[in-house]
Amino acid sequence: MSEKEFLNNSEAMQELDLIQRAKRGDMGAFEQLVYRYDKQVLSIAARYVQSSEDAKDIYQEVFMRVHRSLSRFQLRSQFSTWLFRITTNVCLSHRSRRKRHMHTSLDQEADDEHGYSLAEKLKDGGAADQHAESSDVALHVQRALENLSPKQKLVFTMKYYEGYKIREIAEMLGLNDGTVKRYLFSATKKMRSELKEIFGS
Amino acid sequence: MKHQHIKELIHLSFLDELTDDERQVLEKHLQSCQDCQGEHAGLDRMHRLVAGQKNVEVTDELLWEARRELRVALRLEQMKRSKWSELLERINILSHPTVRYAFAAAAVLVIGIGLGYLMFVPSLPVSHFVDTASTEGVASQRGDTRVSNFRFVRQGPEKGEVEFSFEMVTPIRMKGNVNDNAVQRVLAQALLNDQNPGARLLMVSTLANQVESTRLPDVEIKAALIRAVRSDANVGVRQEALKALQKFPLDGEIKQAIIYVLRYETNPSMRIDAINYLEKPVLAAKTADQDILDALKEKMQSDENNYIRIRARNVYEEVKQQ
Repeated sequence: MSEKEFLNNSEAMQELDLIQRAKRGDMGAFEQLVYRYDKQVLSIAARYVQSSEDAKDIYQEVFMRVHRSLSRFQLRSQFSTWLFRITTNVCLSHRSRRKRHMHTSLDQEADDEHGYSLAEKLKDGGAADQHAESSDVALHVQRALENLSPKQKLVFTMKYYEGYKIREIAEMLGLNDGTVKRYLFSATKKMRSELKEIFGS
Repeated sequence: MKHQHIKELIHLSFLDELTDDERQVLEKHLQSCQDCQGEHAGLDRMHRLVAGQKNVEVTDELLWEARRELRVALRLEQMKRSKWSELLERINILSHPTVRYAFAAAAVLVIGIGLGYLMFVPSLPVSHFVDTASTEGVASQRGDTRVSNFRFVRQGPEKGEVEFSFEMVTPIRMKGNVNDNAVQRVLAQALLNDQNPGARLLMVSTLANQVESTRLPDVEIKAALIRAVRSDANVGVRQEALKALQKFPLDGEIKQAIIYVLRYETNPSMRIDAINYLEKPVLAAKTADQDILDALKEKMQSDENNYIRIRARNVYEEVKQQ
């Protein structure tokens, strides 16, 4: 057994021990379990919702769900797989609650501040490069992201911003690799189309 | 087909998902295909825009805040859960097989005792019933008492105090003389309550035939007869009741009942009987009773029956002349 394998096995045993103790109600063990993965959970949430407050909401919801259902977790999959599946589910449901509000607020903000919509402004605004350098780029990328379906957006952000492999995303979402690829390609196509309208070819 | 595959490779190249072989194939193709070069350039531009997106940074501070809020939320949930779990634990005791069997046995026992009590309970004592057995010359025999229409009214504040209502029926067979006051009172009560007009008629006839004019009427019998003469639905019963009342000495209550018949009775024969009855004591007393005079005057003026008007006038004038 190589040193790496030994360490991996040791890690896995430690995790198993923490899970068993947490299942029996040991809050210290639960916290240690949380700290192993919580940065990744918060990061996925933050990339997905683009808001630190919303990311914290998702983070809390994920670990509350984990805490409530840990007693039913039967170790049929890795803890991390189970945890990230919960994370993606919470993200998807969170997005569906916020979608309308997000669209409205983006439109309102644009109208309130500039007196006309951002799309109109951009159409009238001249060269794409000028806009690319402005803060409006982020707003438009964000808006284009919001126009994706929840799964397209989640797959897209996990791939582009978190750098997960297609295989890992597929495992987290409980999908096969081909389906994840399709989500990625369709998301990219849609993003490109939306951004092309604004910034030109 | 080839271009489609190459376009997929272009996508995957930006996602860092290409194998070395695929990368070589793509690079080779791009050198010679302008269409795919355009696709690559477009995607490259889009990727640069997206990569330039300023993301929310997951700082240690943000992570620390999230952990702190999670700890608070978990503590709150544990507090809630501890109250619930305490309650659920108590309920869960029932799910234990031994406890469940014990409860089932106790329930069966209670139901059995209840059913046994209902089936074998002795008849309830009769507390508010006229017991005529003690009256001289009257013999009564009780049948089985039946309790029906039981209603639980309330449970009192004191321990064990309850209030309820029910109907108790005890068939009684009675034998005695109709002139016996006890028998007459039972008949009078039945006259008021019995639903069968034939039975009421028989009762009031019996009373009418047997009432002695020399005796002062029993209060209950007189009240029952007055009520019958004024309001019984059957004219035969009213007539018999009037006949019975005529045997009693005239007093205020009987006088008012007779005047009521004279004024409001629909049966003319009864109105004539009432005039005949009133005539005798008024003439015998040689004093004019104003109530009787008023009723006679009203009748001689307005009764629809010609004979009654004449008869009322005759009596009225006779009394006036006294």
